[in-house]
Amino acid sequence: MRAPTPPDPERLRRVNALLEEALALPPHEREAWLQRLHVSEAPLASSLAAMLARAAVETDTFMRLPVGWGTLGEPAEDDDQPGDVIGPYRLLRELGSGGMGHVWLARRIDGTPQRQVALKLPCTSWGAGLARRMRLESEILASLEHPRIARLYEAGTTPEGRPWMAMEHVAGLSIDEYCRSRQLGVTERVRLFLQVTDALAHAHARLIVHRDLKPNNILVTFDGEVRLLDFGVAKLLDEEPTASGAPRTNLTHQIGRAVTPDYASPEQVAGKPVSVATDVYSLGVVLYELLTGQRPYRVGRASAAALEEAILAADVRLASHCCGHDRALARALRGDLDTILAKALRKKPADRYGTVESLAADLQRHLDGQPVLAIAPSRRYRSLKFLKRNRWVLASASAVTLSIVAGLGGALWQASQAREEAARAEQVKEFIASVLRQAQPRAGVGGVVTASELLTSAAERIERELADNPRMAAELGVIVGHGFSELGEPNKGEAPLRAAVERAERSYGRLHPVTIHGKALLAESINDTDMAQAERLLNELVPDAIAGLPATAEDAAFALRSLSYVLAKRNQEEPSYAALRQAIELCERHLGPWHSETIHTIGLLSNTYGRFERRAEQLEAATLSVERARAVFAKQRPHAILAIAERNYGVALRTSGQPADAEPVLRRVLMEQRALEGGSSYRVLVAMLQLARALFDMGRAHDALQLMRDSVALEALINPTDTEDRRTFANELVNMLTLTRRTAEALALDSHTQTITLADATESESRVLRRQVQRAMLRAQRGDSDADTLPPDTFQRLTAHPPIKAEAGMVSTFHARMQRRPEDAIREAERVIEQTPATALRPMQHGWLQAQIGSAWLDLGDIRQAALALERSRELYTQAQVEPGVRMSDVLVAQARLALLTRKPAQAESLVLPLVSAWEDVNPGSVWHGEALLWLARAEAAQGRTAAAQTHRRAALAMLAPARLPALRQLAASGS
Amino acid sequence: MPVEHTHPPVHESVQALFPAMYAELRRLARSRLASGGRHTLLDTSALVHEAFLRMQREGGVALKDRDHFMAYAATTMRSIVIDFVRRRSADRRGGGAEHVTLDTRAAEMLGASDDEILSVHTALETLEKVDARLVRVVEMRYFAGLTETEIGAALGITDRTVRRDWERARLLLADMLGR
Repeated sequence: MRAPTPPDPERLRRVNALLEEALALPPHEREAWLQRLHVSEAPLASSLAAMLARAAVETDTFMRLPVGWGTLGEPAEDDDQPGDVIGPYRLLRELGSGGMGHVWLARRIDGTPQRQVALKLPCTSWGAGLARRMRLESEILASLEHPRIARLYEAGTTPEGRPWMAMEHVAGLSIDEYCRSRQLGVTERVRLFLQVTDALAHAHARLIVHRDLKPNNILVTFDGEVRLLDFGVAKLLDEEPTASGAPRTNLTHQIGRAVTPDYASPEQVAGKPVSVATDVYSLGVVLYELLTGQRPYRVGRASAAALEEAILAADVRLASHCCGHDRALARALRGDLDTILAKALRKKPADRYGTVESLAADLQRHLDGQPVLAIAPSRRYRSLKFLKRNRWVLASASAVTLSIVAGLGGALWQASQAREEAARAEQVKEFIASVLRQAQPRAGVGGVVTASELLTSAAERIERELADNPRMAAELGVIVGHGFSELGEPNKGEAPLRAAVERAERSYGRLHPVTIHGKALLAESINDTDMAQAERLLNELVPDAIAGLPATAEDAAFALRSLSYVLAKRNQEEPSYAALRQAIELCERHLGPWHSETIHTIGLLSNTYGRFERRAEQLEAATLSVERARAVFAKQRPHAILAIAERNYGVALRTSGQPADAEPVLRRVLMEQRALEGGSSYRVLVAMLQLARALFDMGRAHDALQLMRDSVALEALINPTDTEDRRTFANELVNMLTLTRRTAEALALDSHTQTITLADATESESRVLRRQVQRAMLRAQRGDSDADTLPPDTFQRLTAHPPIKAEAGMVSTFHARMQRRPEDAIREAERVIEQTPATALRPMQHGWLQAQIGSAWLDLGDIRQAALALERSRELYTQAQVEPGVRMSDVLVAQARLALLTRKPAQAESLVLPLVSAWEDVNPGSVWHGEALLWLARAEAAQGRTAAAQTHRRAALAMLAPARLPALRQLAASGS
Repeated sequence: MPVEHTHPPVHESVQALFPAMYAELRRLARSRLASGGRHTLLDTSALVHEAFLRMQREGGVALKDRDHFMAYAATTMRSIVIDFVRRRSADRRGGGAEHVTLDTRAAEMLGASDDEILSVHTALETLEKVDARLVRVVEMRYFAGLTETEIGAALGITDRTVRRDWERARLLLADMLGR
């Protein structure tokens, strides 16, 4: 319940006037009306939004009936009696009644077919509104065909105008009564509940939200089959556009108060839009009640208002805390079920399960003893879960299984050695168990010890407790290092690994698997901080690991991968491929083509090709890796190896000029990465970066910038030190800012990162050069007259990097055009197109160049040439999968100019309109925004819309006033 | 006491019969409520119509004044309903308490409704200062259960305007009450 507004007549007067204005509009225009509200009315906006939402709700009960009707007493109407005939049915007995009507058991009077039905009759006092509702309900039911949804047989209206619906009569009990009467256990209740989610998923797939889920609407037949009833207030969430062509806005999705407040979601109580998450919430309440026998809220005063308040504000008590003295029940609920319920019952719809299937999947995982996804950020939890599932393995106490049980180690030990070392294995088991005990959750869902914390404390305990037992200390130290590596935080493993490697070498010898594994991990842990040492270590390790084949296959591959990484960072292109190819060959021979190491290593090869911009090879390797990964892991989503393979594939698609194909792949990767590791891991970060790049290449600059800014902020949070990653993220943001012509912001950020980049010898040459070219572009945008002059040695070095050389040519083109040298611009652009190898010039860049050529021809007054170039430009952008927006700014403006010249002002307007709104999002008030707006104004003026044209022209000129670029200054001068 | 409110200018004869109408409506309501139990239906619409017929029969009001009568009757009905609800709430807190525990669910439902009626009544006092016509519409529809046509005739506006006024009033009240 929202807080009542104080009785302020002045406020009420304004709200009243505004509301009158809004209600005079057709419903689909009201949302837009709200958006347009003057700032001075902003404090009233939320009230108005709530009121308009309520206006759209025909089942809203507030004041719906006069005081005498059901409020001061029971209504005296609807006195149907057994034996009465409604339509073709004779009433047998009343099955139940609700706020909106009565349900009767009835039989067809013509005797065919001889089945009994549940006949639903609305309260007559509801009048036409309810008849409409029932018609909608029957339409909804007719579209649902599922064994667990009560079927609609037929519907009609009596001659007196009373609507009726004949539905499948379900003989059974409501789900809560059923569970009680059969005394079902927790697991059986969850299984039964999964039938409900199954039925509901069917409805949701048809965009139908039930909105009134409660035990009374969920019947269970005597065979234990669930039937979902009463779609009386169900809602179609269809996305069809409204008559005006505008997309459906939130307002039309609104519904007010649920019929049954006990199971209502916060958004229903608040009169906000409903979604499938609304049903997820209500299902959460039902499950909570089924499992604990209580509702999630303990309401002191027994009033509807107090309940609503609780739904909106009060915390849900953990289910396991509501079991009274039933310890066994509390134990069964603690952990997964607490977590699942808490997630389903989150206040914010976005925080709940996104679909009823994902709720069901988590419940199924719980039943199967798999880790549930609901608890996102804790990796600790996953190892605990693993421990539980493999409890029987623990008892067998072999060292190999132990390392797996802990969820930390790989195949570190050889089974043959385990027998001899049984005593030590027992000690290892004891140690791991004691570390894990420390990780017991402090209280339910909260208090979580992260895996990283767990490993750090384990490392400390090794030094403290096991210093006199070097073999065990070595093994455990390597396990800890492995754990950090798995978490994607290898650098934290450096200290424990150094100690462990030293101990292992001393007590096991150089060629022992523990030593080799430890060294490989140690090299990885210092890859970024001490590359020279890492390389030395790896050069020494690789021959040892190969000597130990086949037992050391994984370590040999691991070492080769690390070596390849170091070589790539040193710009040793061919040797770095060679190391990876050797690793792949080794994996295929000793581990097989479908092994996760093999798949992963192929993905890394794709990555490395990408680093050196070998696009075709990159896509080829990525495709191979993803095909294998999907074949093996598709059924285990989200899966770490699959996510990485798909990420590499998505990246390769994007860099090969298919960003729109890459986008859904990368979006799923980000989602799954979050599901796997929580919101703030390194791999999540990389997934964000790659998705942002794909979005940017598709022309969705606004979304891309937002995601990119988020990822830069997150990177700084995760990575305390300035590594190569920091620069990758900052550079990407600078790049996006440059291309969206947020020149000042880009320059500021750039000067911050540029110094580091140039000073760092390990920076790849291509990166350094690209940064210089990018800076030149920023200077050209700013209007520096010497923007296109690069240092002589830079120009020299560019010959070895055709893609970057092309970019330098693009800067010259842009600069020439902006400095009003159109002939130079055309010459330069054509030179770039001619001289750049086809593989080094992306279709998007080619399209951009054609746009410059077209614009320059327009400047020179050659309409025919301009039209040719601009048409070609549009083709190329389409090929590059770019959506109209700021990335296509120049071609859109030029085409609009052309359209105006050829007296097609409407066409000009439609070209420039999306651009204006894109600039509004991405770079509002900029000279570029002004440029687009001025052309819009001209298109409007040419169509005789003088008032709009004048307003837009004035705004455009204000934005163009600070322009330094001659081309824009000329435009501004011609406009005033 | 009846609730005092400004009305659109009406026929003097109707104004003059206000005390008589109030008395008549009260009497009818009381007798209706006395005959029933806790689930008594107070059909305010029937009461208003019955009161008009009686007073017309007794010569207190002319048929041509029916529309004005209805507007006033609605205001009167509002004060009668409020009196009734207040008394009932008091009963429940006092001597009626025992009664309530027997059937908490029903008591809850009625309690919520009483809350609604009382809070609507209070909010109308604020609304009166801003848009008196909306208050008239609420009284006629919510407190007296009159039809849109009757309300339109009483206020001299179209059915369509009645519908719009009613919807706006309902939304404003919901907002004021934080519903």
